[in-house]
Amino acid sequence: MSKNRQLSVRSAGSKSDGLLTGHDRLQELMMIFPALMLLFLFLMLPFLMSIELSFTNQRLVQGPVATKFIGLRNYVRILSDHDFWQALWNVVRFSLMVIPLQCGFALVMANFLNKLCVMKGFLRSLFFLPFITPMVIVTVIWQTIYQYPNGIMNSILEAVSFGTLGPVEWLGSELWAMPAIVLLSAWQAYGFQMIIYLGGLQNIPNEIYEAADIDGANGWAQFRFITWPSLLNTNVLILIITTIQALKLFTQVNILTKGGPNGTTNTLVHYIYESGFVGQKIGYSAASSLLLFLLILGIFLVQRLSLSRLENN
Amino acid sequence: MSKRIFTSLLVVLVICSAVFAGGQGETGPSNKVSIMFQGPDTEQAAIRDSARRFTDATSIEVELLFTPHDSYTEKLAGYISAKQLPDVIQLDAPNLSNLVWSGYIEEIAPHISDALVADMTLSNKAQCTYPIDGKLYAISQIDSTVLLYANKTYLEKVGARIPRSVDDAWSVEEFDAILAKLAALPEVTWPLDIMRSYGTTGEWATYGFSPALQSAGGDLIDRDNWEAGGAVNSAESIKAMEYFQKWAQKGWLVPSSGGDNQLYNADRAAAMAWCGHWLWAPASAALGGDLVVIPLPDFGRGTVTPNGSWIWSITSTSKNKDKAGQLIEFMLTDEKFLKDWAAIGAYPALKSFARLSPDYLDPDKMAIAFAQADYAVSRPPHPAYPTITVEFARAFDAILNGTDVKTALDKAAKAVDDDIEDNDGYPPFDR
Repeated sequence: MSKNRQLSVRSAGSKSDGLLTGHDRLQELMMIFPALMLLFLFLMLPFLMSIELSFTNQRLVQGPVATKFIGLRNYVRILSDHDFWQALWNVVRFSLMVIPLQCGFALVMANFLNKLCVMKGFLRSLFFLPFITPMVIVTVIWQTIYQYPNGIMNSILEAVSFGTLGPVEWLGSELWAMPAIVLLSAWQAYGFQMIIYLGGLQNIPNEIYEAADIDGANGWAQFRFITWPSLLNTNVLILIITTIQALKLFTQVNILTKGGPNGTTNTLVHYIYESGFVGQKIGYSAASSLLLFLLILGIFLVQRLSLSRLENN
Repeated sequence: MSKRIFTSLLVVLVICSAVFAGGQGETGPSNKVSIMFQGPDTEQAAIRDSARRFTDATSIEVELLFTPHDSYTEKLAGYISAKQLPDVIQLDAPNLSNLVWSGYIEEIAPHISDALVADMTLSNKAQCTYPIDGKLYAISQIDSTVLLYANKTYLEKVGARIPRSVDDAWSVEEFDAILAKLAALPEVTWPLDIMRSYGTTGEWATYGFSPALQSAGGDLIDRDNWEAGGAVNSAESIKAMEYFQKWAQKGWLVPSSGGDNQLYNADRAAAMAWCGHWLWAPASAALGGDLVVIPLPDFGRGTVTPNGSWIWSITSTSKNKDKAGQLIEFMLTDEKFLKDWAAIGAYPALKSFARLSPDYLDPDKMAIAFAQADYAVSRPPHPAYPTITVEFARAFDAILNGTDVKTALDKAAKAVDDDIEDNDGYPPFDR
């Protein structure tokens, strides 16, 4: 124990000097070396390579025509491709629908579970279940739910509307295909946000609620003036994570619609996948993924900036 | 100090790379042949069993490299960049040209017997030939075809003529009129199922519906000058695709979330299905004598069916080409192997295999389907095929959903010609 303390004191001291003794530095480097190596090999290197590839006509299976530098041609083609802009718009549409739905539902469920006294553990695992089920399996199940004309979703619609509505062709209509994917995505993934919210809720000291009770604040007022402001940091985290997840939408689309009907569910990642692995144009595909990277980076920076400004106020 | 760190890192790296390099080694000729394949359980079992019989008969070991269908292209690209291609690879026929062009596969005739080559159907030869030199680079026991499957009761109710041979196909006008009459029958929800549930933006779109272009006199790409502009967006191609748009807009086609069994499930809600030979087994089991098999409609220049399935090739980097040829020869003449494929309803690509598949000989069953092997048109054997298929499929989906036909096909033509330009015309295809 004392040795430990000694170590931490020394490293804290040396850090403030901005210098480490040689032995410590070696030790630290050795410790982060494996992680750095892996990150470099499997993340940085491919990323740098894809920047290079994006300026070439590289194909998936290399042919006798040498790969050559084609300048900005890939970027020009992508930016003048209607499908790319449609995919971008679809991802934005998806995010705008899925983020409020998924996070809102997660918050409601977290509040419910937090107040629960009986069967706490059981219900928590139950509501967490969709998240630990692989997306592929969830998607295949929902495919049967959305079946036309006799799927469960259509039966429900018919029952609640007393037979006046439906059947709707959920996945085959330009209007409903995206909302259908939003619903299933939110259902599958809300568990993750729910757990984070639950953690956030449990960090709020009980005394504040007790004081609010004495002051006569009702449930809504407590939520509005205590819970919600206290969850600010949690919200920041959740917003960023959910946005990045939403921008990377792929699995559901690839299984359910392959981007159809008429491109209304095509997403950027599906666009990248299709040009790279089906169309076998790796250079083109690398250029599109760099654009996606820039998009995510941009959104992340905007979110960070605006949220830190919010925190400072 | 930092120098010492650097040195130690370097030592670690050198050791690591030495260990990895040692694992690979040089693979010279050996008493072993490796084979890469894909497919559902039943097909895998047939391949594994036959490989075992091969080892028993020749004492040549077979290394079985099963690769899931969905990641097959990626895996193949991986083997290629690692320069570790197996001796025998199974590949999807439309990819043949791309791989021969890239120099990864070997002419096959020198490694198998003349008798086996003579046993191939015309369609099989077509799917395995590289157009630049006209030579065979692969062989298969299986092939495929597309037909109309119809509910006989419904056809008789509307008084439709039932074609009995390939030359006797419905003209598209006749087909269109029959669809209209079927749509009026109260028990028919949809006159036609074109298997939109397979996903109309995948390979099915190109495979299943490019024959309509060819039957009309158009094509996916001009097979003389290898340009898509003027072929996929020709007046003939537009005319053929306008029929599909009309059928979709009238609500005559089973929607994509309607599944693939509306022809033969309990409701019998679809009157006809435009589908591959694989629909025969489930549809005939459910409909029995009520099921008739009809060639695809004639859009002007005679009915056209697509072809192509998974074919066997020997890689040019193989050190065991003779043994690889021996394995292919053994499997394709192994009666038990062929019977296993017959049992799962495979479409024969060898005449000897057809004799073991009674359904494909029976005029009341799939004889028309097998007769189509003489009329099949392969998908364009061009290295740009991956792009051709993606772009056509996108256009087809757009057309079914109401986009102007000419606009959609023009866009596909431009994307394909752009890709060809980016690759300098894929020499020697630019001649």
